Amino acid sequence: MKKKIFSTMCVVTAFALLLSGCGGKKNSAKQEFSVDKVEFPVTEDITLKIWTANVNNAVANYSEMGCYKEMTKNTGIKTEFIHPTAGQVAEQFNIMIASKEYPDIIERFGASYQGGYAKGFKDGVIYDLNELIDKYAPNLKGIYDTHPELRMASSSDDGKIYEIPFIRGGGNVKTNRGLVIRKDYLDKFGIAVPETMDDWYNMLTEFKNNGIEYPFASTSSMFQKECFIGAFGINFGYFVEDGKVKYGQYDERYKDYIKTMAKWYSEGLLDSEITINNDSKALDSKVINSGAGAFVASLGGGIGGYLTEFEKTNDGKDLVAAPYPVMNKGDVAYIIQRDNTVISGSGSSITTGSQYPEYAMAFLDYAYSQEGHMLMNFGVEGESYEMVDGYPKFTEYVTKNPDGKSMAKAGSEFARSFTWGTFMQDTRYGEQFYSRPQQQEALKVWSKTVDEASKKAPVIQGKLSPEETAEIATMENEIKTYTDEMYSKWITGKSDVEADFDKYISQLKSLGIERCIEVYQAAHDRYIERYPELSKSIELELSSEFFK
Amino acid sequence: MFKKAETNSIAKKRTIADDIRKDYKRNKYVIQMAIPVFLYYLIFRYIPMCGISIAFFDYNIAGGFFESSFVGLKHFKDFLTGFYAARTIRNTLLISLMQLAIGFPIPIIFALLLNEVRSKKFKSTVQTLSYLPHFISLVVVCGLIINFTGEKGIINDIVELFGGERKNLLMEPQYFRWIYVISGVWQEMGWGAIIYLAALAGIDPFLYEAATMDGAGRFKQTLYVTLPGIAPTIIVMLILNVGKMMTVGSDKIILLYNANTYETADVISSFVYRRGIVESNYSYSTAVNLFNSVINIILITLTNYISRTVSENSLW
Repeated sequence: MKKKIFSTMCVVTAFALLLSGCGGKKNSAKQEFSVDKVEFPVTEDITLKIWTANVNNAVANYSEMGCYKEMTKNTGIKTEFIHPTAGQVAEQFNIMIASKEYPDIIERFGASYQGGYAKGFKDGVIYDLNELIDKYAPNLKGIYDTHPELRMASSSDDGKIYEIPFIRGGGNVKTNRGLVIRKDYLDKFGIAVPETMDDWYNMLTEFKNNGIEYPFASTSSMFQKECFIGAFGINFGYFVEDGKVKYGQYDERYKDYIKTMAKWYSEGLLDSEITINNDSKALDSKVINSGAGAFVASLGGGIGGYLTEFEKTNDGKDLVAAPYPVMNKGDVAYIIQRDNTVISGSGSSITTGSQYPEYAMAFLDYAYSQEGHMLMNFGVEGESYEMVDGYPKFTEYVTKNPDGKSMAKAGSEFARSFTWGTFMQDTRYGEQFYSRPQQQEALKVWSKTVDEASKKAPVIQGKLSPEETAEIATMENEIKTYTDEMYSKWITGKSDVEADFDKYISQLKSLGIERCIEVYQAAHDRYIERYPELSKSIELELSSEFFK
Repeated sequence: MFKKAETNSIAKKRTIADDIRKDYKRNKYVIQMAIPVFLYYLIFRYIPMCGISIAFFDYNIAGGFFESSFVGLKHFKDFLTGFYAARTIRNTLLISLMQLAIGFPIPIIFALLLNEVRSKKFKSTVQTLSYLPHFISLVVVCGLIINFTGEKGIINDIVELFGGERKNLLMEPQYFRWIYVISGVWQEMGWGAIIYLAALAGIDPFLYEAATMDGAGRFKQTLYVTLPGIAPTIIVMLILNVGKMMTVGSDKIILLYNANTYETADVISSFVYRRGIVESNYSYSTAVNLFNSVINIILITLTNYISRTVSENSLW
């Protein structure tokens, strides 16, 4: 046996030495393109391979989607989508990369590639798109020229562009989640929609005393990040305050937050599984079957889905959205659930394996033209939408599907606005998707806080360099494990935050939290310095500006 | 003298080649049949071992081996000096030890009991039922466990019946290892007993007759005939089990644990899952697994040595 180990070790070492001798060769992306201009429809026979997850399986392959069929007709470029099996996305992605058979376009590249976009570019897998955009993407370039901050928002730390972005076209497609309360309970007990933390406490206590099993329910991650922590002036994870980057769980105010939540938990106001259960189906069941009093819900599947269920029993159950809670009346809640205008990480990257990068670019850019915009957002005219007085109205096939399909699923047979993609999401889609008055009201209530909060506190900006990411990866991982663990212990009352907190802070210090904050601060500062007028992009109503 | 030696060595050389040829002629078909097996082990078991080398590199998936940079023992150092190294190693060993202490003897006892059952029908029914859980997918088993131990689960119904307080058992760190080990015993008991039942069938019935004549009752027969009869099997199984000491599979842990139970539930493999696989840090996970394997080899060699000196039963 000893011999075996020894010989194995020898082989391994020899191999290692052999490998360390090689290397150093970098296949940097060639930036020479065969044509100067792409004109549609193209005459060449071109099929673009596109890697993306099939989000809701409305069609077996996205190339059968109404919008892509039409796009192929108009541009002459065929598409062939490669969908990884759900649940094995990461494995299949890595096999694809390791085999070096890259498709032309990869969506959400940065999320799967180890080290992110910047590393992918360094390794020679994807293009820097700056030149391609300038040459072959007239529509997107037009948008970028009018709003340079959008170009900045999709650029990397050193000015490179690795993806063609997914852009939210305006306010009503940016917010989609928030706090919701059973309106019939409020009416029954004579309570107004709560605004402050005290209001919330009183309301939940009232619910509890009246025998409601789950006064407050939520999935664990949304409870952490999007419910009450904002009232304490902090946020979970990294956030900016007066230009300084801070870490929520490493802040004095975090102690007050935990104390309050632990009190609520011990009094039975919070669902007892709130720190562990992240299953949205369990939450649905608590809301629909067990009559939870207040909870976190999304606009579409949440409020819309619950109301559909409530209507079946028809006994007066109703929902109302609550604003994000604050400490004192008139304060502005700090926490927000709102997407940026440019969603980074959800766009398309062009790989160096593509034979036709210029055509791939032109094809992606087509989604930002008037025709392409309508196709991506509303699908095929006459099938999924009709123009009524210049307004694209979804047909009954989408809104009241004869086969009983949900609107998102029926719509996804024609357009990508119901999920995400590489285009600008239109506000007119939002208007129709959220058609119930409760949804419209919720959107208004949440957006109001969101607007106030965005003015008060800009979101943390900047992107880390690959070296910085690698440097803090271990530290961040340990910090996350530690903070998660202590958070659960404190809330469920297994440990006392008052007694532990000093030790907790010094432990975080020794795990390297200060260095992590420093790195994020540096990235944030670099960004602000480079793009000082960044906050402008927050309130843009792009889709009505560019597409009528 | 000199000449003689030369001819000798030539003669010897010829003999080796001859031997091989002769051997091949005689065992032609056996050797041909063995070739696929040999190739299988070579291709799927030995060549991939070269992949271990990425433990010493910062593996770059796009570039492959040739563009990864050599970092030596960095990943090992990372793991062993990490904040959670001691805890995950301790948890792994504790769960393994509990599995060994509880999960190892139970199939043996079960097989012995089953062996004493006279009714053939009853015996085969019990046996079939006992190994059915083995075929249930782990995800389903964990779903069952989560339901049973939940606040409204059947276990809490029983606890409440006796005046206890309802609580989600998977949120209590002190119960985690028990839940993990006992559910494992439930799932694998019947399956694990099969090998012992086979060994039992191989014991010479004359031995029992002789023992009866000497006046041994059922219990004494079990003690002095049955147990020694299956001892070699037990030893081999024990050695194999000790060889898995540092390995507690990540699947079941990940399906059952949560931040509340990290302190007792977080084992090496689940830690590596969060750190290595989720973040696609392959070099790191390879390094940790290599470290595990080395310790496992040491343990298995040690047990084998002890067993050989003490009982003359051993793997090799």
